[in-house]
Amino acid sequence: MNRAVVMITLGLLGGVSYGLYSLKYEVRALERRATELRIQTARDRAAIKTLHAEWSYLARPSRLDALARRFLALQPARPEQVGMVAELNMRPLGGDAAGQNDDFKLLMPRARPTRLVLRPGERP
Amino acid sequence: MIRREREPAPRPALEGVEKTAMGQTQLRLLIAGGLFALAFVALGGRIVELAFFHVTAGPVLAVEDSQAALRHQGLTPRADIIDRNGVLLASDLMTVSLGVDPARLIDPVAAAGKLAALFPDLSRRELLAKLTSKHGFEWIKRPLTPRQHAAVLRLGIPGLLFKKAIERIYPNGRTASHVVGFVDVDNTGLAGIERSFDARLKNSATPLALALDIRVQHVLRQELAGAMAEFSAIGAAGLVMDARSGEIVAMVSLPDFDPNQPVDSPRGNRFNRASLGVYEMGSTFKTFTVAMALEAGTASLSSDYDARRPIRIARYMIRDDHPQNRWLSVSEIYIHSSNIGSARMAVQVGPELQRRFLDRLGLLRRPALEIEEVGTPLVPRRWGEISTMTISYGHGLAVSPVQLVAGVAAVTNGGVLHQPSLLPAGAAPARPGVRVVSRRTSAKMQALMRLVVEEGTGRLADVPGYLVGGKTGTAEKSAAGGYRRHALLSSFVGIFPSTAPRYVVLALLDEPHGTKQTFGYAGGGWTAAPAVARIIGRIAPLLGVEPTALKTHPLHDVVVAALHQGEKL
Repeated sequence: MNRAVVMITLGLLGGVSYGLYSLKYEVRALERRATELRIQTARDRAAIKTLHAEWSYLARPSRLDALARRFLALQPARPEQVGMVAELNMRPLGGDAAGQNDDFKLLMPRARPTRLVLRPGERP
Repeated sequence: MIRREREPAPRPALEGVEKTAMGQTQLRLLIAGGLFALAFVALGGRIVELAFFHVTAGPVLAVEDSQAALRHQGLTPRADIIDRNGVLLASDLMTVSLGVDPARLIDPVAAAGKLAALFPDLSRRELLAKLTSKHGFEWIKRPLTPRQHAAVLRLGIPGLLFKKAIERIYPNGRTASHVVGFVDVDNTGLAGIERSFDARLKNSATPLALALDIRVQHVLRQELAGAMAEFSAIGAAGLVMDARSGEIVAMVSLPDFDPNQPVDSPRGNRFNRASLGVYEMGSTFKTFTVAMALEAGTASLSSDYDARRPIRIARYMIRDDHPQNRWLSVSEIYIHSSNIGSARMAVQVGPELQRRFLDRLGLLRRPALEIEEVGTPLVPRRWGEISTMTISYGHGLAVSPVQLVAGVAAVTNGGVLHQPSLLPAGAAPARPGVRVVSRRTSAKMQALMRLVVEEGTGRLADVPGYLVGGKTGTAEKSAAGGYRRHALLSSFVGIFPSTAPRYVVLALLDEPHGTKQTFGYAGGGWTAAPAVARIIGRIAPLLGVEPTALKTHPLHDVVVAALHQGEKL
């Protein structure tokens, strides 16, 4: 009986010691990993900050404006090219799901697009 | 019984010894066990403590980017500045600079050769001088690009040192230079928001959002620069203000500077004409005169004033640029921009009321803008009848463009003055508006300003679909002892859409010169108005202003009726 108690106690002792030991090392490893991750996060954050700054520099309106004028045929939207959602016909209630009863008016601009007419000496 | 009593009799001695031995052992075990138990309880407690109460972050060093850690390293981080849509206007960049400790260098000559190959802009001789210097430390190159940094590391020369520094960068460069400002080498703000929010930017990592929209800012700057070049002006200023909140969506002063290299531009370029400069604005002030007379009830749109001949008062002569030489109604005075008529209108209201009205519009006091570059208006010391007359058409009282725009916004937005602000309306402490004129007066002013664009001096400011209204201003710049006839300050202040103004746009040109296209005219209607038209045409879609099918203001007929009545007389 006494012997059993001693054995159990010793067993528990060993178990607990081992548990504590491995826990300690596990914690140490986790801490190391956490530090690594924290450093990595900090590096990534710094990189994101730098990239954000670079993006802002590359996407600055003055540069985009010049590039758009050079490579795109797009121009600022003119008032007659703007249509409003409110001008759309609503889908009639009770129409079938297949949409065969659709009688949508096409969303038409208020007027045909016109070419920008430049006065002499005016920039587009 | 005796035996029984006797039999154990010899044992007590034995028993005594045994008992004490047993007792001792038991006691020892108990104590040992107790100690162990205590130790385990302590261990357990510690484990619990570690698990539940010590969940703190690891070493502070690891959190490289936190402001506190950076400051700990002797660096001076600042919070980003962003525009109303979150676009970066100012940010920090970690840079690395190259230095050397000559004493620790093994072969200076070889090192100088290798470094000279890497940096073509550094001469081999200067490098060698630095590498053999007697000083403990010498800078070689600051700052390095990341690529140069890697290349120097690859050389693997002992004795070379890298120092981290934070550099303030402005990705949008000149576009918002006067608003954002710039910093010195120690990262202390010297101008604009960088200066006025210096402490806030140093102590907080949260980005500071401005009311500015960098896209609108770009358009304003580009169009102003275009107009400035076209009319060979010496400077320009422009503003776009939200008429309903007083938020400054764009503010430009030209010439400007690059905040990344502020010392590369002349010092004079740092002067902010839009908020620090105060100018006699000229005819745009008639907006306030008419609003004042309508509000005071001394005039209606059809009241007539004698503009048959110039007014001679003291040593002044008040005359019109386009003399009609007849009686003019209030509508006509505004649309033909008659100095004589507005002088008479103002005299009828009187100096005292005029002064109070302009004060309520915020034109007599330094506005509380969030930068330090804000000018104090030049108010006449004696505000007599002469001042009343000249101020009625914008001479004798000098205000900053930002005050003018805030005043026009107040008169046309339904009659409520909002303090101009560079911070978004949600961020700054609530700024309740102050009613300055009635809704009725405000609606009449909208219609008058629309008519100026439809058939008055501001025709070149029209943009189909946005119902632009506005007023031209052409002031002669004052010089010692008088005015210079040919040094003009030409401006146009526009509202759109004039039925319920969303934005007020100002373009102001300093000393523009007429061209062949403008038949030599350099007034606001010829120089600033077309610039405002181009600005509105480009920013209205950006700002989501819905185009309208209306061609005229609903009060158009009322205003026009007043016109014809005047003509009959």
